Amino acid sequence: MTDQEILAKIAEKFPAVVESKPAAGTLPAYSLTVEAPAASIAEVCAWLKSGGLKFDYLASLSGVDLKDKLQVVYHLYSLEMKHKLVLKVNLDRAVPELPSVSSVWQAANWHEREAYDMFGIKFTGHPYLERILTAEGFEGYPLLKDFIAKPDQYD
Amino acid sequence: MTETLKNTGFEEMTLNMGPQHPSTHGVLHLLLKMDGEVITEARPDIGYLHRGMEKLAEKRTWGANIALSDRWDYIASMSNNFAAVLGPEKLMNIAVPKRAEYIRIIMAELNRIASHLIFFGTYGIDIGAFTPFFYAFREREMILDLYESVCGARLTYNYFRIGGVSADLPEEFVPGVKAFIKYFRPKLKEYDTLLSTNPIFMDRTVGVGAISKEEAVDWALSGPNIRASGISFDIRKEDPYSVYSEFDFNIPTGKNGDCWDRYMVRMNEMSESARIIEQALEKLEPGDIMAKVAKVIRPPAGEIYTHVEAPKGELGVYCISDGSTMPYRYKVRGPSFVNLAILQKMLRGLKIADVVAVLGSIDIVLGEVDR
Amino acid sequence: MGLVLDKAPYILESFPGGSYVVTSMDWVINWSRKSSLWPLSFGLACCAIEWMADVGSRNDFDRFGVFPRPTPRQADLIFISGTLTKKMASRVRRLYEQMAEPRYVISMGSCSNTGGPFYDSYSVVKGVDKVLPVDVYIAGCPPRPEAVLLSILKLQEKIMTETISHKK
Repeated sequence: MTDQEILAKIAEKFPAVVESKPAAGTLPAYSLTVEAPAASIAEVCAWLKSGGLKFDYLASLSGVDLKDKLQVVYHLYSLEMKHKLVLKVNLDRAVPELPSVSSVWQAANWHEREAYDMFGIKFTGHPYLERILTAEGFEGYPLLKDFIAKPDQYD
Repeated sequence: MTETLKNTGFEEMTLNMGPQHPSTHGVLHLLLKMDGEVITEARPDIGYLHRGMEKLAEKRTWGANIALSDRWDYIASMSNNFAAVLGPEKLMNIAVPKRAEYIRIIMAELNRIASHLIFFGTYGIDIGAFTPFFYAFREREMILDLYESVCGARLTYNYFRIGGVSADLPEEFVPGVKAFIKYFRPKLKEYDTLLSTNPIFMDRTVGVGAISKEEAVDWALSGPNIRASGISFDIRKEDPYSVYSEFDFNIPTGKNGDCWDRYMVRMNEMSESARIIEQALEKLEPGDIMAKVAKVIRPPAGEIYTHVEAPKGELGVYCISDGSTMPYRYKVRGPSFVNLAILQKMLRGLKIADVVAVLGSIDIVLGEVDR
Repeated sequence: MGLVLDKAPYILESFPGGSYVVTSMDWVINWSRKSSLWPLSFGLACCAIEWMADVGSRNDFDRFGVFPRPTPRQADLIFISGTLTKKMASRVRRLYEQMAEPRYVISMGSCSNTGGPFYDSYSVVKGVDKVLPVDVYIAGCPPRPEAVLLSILKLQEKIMTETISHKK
């Protein structure tokens, strides 16, 4: 299936999901990239998996700090139909919250915990949203651009 | 609490396994809740080797990140190097010279053998056989000697460069690899007689910790773990990078997705890697090893997700450039991190003695889990 | 044994010529300690793989009486082989405390010496000597197996200078 066909199918089902255009002066996207509103991400993902497009493989889920907003990027792949999709969700920096997709792909479970740990993005409906990598009692979200590490007895 | 526990008055027990345990392959901490010998809940607790690599990557230049990449999956550093250079190369549209491409593939495949050898040795120890460890390390040292002759390092190579490789092969390298492959092939049979069909080993692994196809995809497993479940998913074929499309090789798969299948997939992969190396050696011709690239690069603003088939699975790097000398965001999708997540599902209902067999068969490296 | 080693030198040294006996005892005790250094089989990061290469067939540090033990209670040497993170620091301290005395620490590699390539990370301890007293440092990232063997020899030299005497 070509990128345009995938895009048309998604637009037919979810008009709010639009192709994401790279900002002026940046390289064109390497694979089809779409943007979805945060509130409906769980439905979009559930449909992407079980609908006609069969995106059954969540390759990666990353948080990104774009200074004025936070972003969650899903790299999807279909093992059966061999196509790729990059799904982006923009979040308000003050209240970074969006529904969890760990019920859609189990693989999202730890990815989301990592994004929570590193960026403070809250995934509502996640079964166990706790810090995963940083030490107990760690303060702040290290991958935010304005994070400043507090020296402790080990520094 | 299960029915038996209620009736007998025994309590559920919580057992901490790790972070210091000879069989957790590093500093993994497993929290196990048990009903007698049966595990009712398992929770891996990771982060004991979290070094903040993704944050550090934003403070290093693109080139310096190759040195950091050595330390993600430290037993297959060449594959990490591969993943680290692909992103910036594609962003800058650099054409890598043919010779460098073949050298890269030889290195990556030798590294796959070295990594699987460590798996073979340590998995033997996990199950209770110490001898395979000595056999595996004997052969692995030969690969390390070859690496040492090329780049001077045994473990953290920092050999790939954006646009090629750092040094040409020394004279003795190509005959050395040929001699190694010739020596290594019969050794694979030796391993089979030593461990693969050993009745004790098979009792501990066959039918233990089976992962179905659906589960494997749902948890986004990759590498030998997903292939053991019968899905022929290999980035080298699926989304060929570098010059992998020129090579003729098979993708070994399993059937049942149990520990033994995962083990056998890795054993069979070693001989496939040897095949790729032989083909690459034949195609190797004199020429440039580096494209013309500035020492400090500034890739144009943009983003890309590149992935390679590392010995553990899909090693992806999602890099965002803002046009400066350092990455804006450098996300590493470590295969071990994703593969390890399924442990909480797999261990439920197994006996405590199987934990080590299952954990070993997933073949994780904590450097990549925690990054 | 502990009582004998504690009291005997004190009593012996109060006699004229007793120091000679103490030094001979020193030699015997140190010799036996240095010849059976049992390390904890414990690895943190990359260096642990090189440490494993030392256990392996080519380097084989069994030759020096170095024989890995899986529990800290049987070990008298701990290699800090790799990056020590803040999350792990208290656990390593606990492991060290569980070891019986005399106990020795070898800091293996740049990470555990100073933080190494992760010197500016928010989650890495900048040198294991902030947590434990270190006897021998090995440089390298990671150190070669030969360097690890050398560290054993250096530690043996250090052990030979120890004494049970009260007149330090």
